[in-house]
Amino acid sequence: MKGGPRTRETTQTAAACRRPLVKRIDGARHWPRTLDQLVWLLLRAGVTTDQLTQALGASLRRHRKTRALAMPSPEVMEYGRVLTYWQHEPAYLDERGRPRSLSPKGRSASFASLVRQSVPNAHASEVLAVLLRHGLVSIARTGRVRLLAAAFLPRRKQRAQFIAYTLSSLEAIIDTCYTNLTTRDPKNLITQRTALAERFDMTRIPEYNAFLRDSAEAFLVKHDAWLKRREIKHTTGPRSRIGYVGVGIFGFKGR
Amino acid sequence: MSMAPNAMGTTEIGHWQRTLSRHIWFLRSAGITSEQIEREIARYLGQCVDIRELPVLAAEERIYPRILAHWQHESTYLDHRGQPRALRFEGHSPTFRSLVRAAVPGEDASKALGTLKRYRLVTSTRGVVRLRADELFPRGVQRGLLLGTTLASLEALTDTCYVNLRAGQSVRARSRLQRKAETEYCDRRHLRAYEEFLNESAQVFLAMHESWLKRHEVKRVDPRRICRVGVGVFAIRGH
Repeated sequence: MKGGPRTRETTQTAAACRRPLVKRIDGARHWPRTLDQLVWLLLRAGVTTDQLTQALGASLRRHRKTRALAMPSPEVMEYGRVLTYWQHEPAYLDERGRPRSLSPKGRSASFASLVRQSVPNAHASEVLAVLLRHGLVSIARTGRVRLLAAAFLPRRKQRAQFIAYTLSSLEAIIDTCYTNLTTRDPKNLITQRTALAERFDMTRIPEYNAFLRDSAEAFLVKHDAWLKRREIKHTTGPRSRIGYVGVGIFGFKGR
Repeated sequence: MSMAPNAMGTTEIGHWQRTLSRHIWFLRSAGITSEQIEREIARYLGQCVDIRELPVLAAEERIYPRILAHWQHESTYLDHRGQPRALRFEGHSPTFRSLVRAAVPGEDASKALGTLKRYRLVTSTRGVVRLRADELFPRGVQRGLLLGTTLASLEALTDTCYVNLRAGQSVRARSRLQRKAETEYCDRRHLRAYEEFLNESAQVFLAMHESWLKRHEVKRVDPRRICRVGVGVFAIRGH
């Protein structure tokens, strides 16, 4: 990132204090920089400052009654990873490959061990409370924790989570595009690619959606595994050695 | 360049007003006030007096990079070392014309060649067209090409996020895919290796999609039955 204000911070929660300084992308906290980069891209493409000011005024008028949602902390945004692990790690699947219900505590194949593996610095009870609040898990009479939904989806309380998720995706892609357009060193180029069809038969959209979901899942699971193998386990190493990296996928449709 | 919208409401860089408006809506939903947004944009515009405009790819030319992808990946167009081979413009296949026909059916090969030459992505000497492999790092005029695809990607992602958020309110609306895999504890010494892994896996993933989408494209265009669909992959980097 070369443009706009640099206002990275660390969340000063007790949990964060135990962690190394994480350069987390959470969208909302770094919004001025992301907005600046978007404006820069538009100006580079020939949009004039007058056109921009006019469009901005119109947008702000249109959204003047938008209700602000209570945004989740960056730590909470990571909890979605618990759901991913639950659906893909063999230890947490039953004989038919479906996520099994888990006892809350225990050394192996419990909800606590799942949280330990997927979000190492989070507290299992805190994660459970958030997932319960969003209706993503339930607790059976036996006390076992059951998975109810595969991912955070934009409904009710989850909408705030989804806005945060959206803003972090936009922050990531805008930053990637900005870096690619401003770097002078080919080694700094970052992946940013699309595959599209302009004359796609609309009646086959459900078929494409299914193909996209399956292939994206396989792709992301592979990346999750690669990244996990190379994560720094101990938090005492030099901070300069720790980076925030990953990959995002989005499908699109337009006429 | 004129940014006046055409009859379809689009400019050369797509629906930029809509992209901006949706971004503003996300920010307002996240609790950023109108005053903060206005102040930030005014402050930043004050710094941007010298920004030079880049020529961006026209909307109807945005499909042309697919020709390059096809050239680099389809065995018919590769030499024995797996490199894109030089092609005669026309004649016995494989030619540049057959490449365009295969990659973007219905497009005019001469027009595509003119555009790719303008962006210095190919050379054409005595009827032989060559891919400038050493020029794939965007410089000068090529940055305009990258900027065009960048804004198209942003529009697509913003639209997907917006539709997904609105889908929660409408039962009939269907959500679109929007996922990530990331870590905040990556050992920086592995960053180069990750970029290589990402490039390779994204190439395979996108080639698979290119081929799936191509198989399901309609040859005869009935505007009521067609739409633009696809998938985008982007890297995430924290600093």
